[in-house]
Amino acid sequence: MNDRERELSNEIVKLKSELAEKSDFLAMIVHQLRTPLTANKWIFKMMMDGDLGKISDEQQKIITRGLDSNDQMIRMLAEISTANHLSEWKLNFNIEPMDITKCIETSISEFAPEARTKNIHLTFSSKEHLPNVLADKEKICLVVQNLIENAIKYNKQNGTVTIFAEPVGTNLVVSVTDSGIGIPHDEQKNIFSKFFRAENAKKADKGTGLGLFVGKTIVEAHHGTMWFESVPSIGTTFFFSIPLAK
Amino acid sequence: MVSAILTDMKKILIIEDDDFLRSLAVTKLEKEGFTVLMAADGQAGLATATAEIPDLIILDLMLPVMSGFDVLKSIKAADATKNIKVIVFSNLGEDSDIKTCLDMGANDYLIKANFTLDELVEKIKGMLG
Repeated sequence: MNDRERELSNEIVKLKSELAEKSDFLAMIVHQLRTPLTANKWIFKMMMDGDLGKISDEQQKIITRGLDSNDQMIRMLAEISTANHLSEWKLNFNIEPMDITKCIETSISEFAPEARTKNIHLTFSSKEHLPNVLADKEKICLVVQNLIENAIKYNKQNGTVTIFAEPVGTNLVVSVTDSGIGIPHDEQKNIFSKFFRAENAKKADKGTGLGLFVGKTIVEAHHGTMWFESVPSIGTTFFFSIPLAK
Repeated sequence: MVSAILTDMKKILIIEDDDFLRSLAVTKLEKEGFTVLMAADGQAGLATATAEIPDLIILDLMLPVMSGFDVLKSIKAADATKNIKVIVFSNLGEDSDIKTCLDMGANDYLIKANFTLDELVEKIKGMLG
């Protein structure tokens, strides 16, 4: 090894060490922020359930909004945490046969209160009983949740969100269609880039710009693909495909 | 009534250092009819587990004095405590942490921020049912 090579090698070791330090720091921040958010989540839920005394319908509505906002922050932290690992290629995937229908239905009930605040009609349909897919349950559910969350967040009042799934060849294709603001043509090429947010999305709501980057990376780690079709002011459909279990 | 019968005499130990989270969890579990023991650090938690032999332990990982990992290891290593069911309930969400705990014998691993106390109660009932 000559001097130049040795210098470069030392530089790489140093950069890797700095990256690991930053990653650990970020993991620590995520952990610390989750604790107060957990307390909020539990309090909101106990109030809603009347565990801390009877509350009025109006209070129930306000507390539901509080719980939704808190859950949104928890999901943002999960995105940041996942992106942190993706950048290090440290993320482990526990791939096994799973029923994606359950994951979609759970996500829909989770986001139903948020959809109601904009009077958005949220539906799921499939042509047939869906076969199992080969996937990491937790991570694919994160992708589904993220797409549904975006479809509601960037939708219009009284809009629709339609989730559809069908087997196509050896894959299952899932689509999430909204009647929202759409993605401007000149920004579509950047939509899966890390931290990217379209101008109209920035005006519509807050976000990390990590959800689609994380989603596409997760789907591709399953040997699947993610793509979209969008018409500004009309709406967007995001699709992803993942392999069916044999 | 069904709930009271199911949870009657079941003893749960919560090892959690955050006072506020611990008090909320105690309130919820007592309301569900469980007998609840608590500890604010790992060493005290291990001592209570050994002395009281609860039916189930809710175990945080980032604990003062002795970490949750070490508590779990000790509980699973001792004949008197190795059959106690343990739910790790932590805000550490690293895949490596989850794998480590499950490999050490934890019965489940839940990320606190992703679960409400109702869901925790359901998990406990499912495990003790």
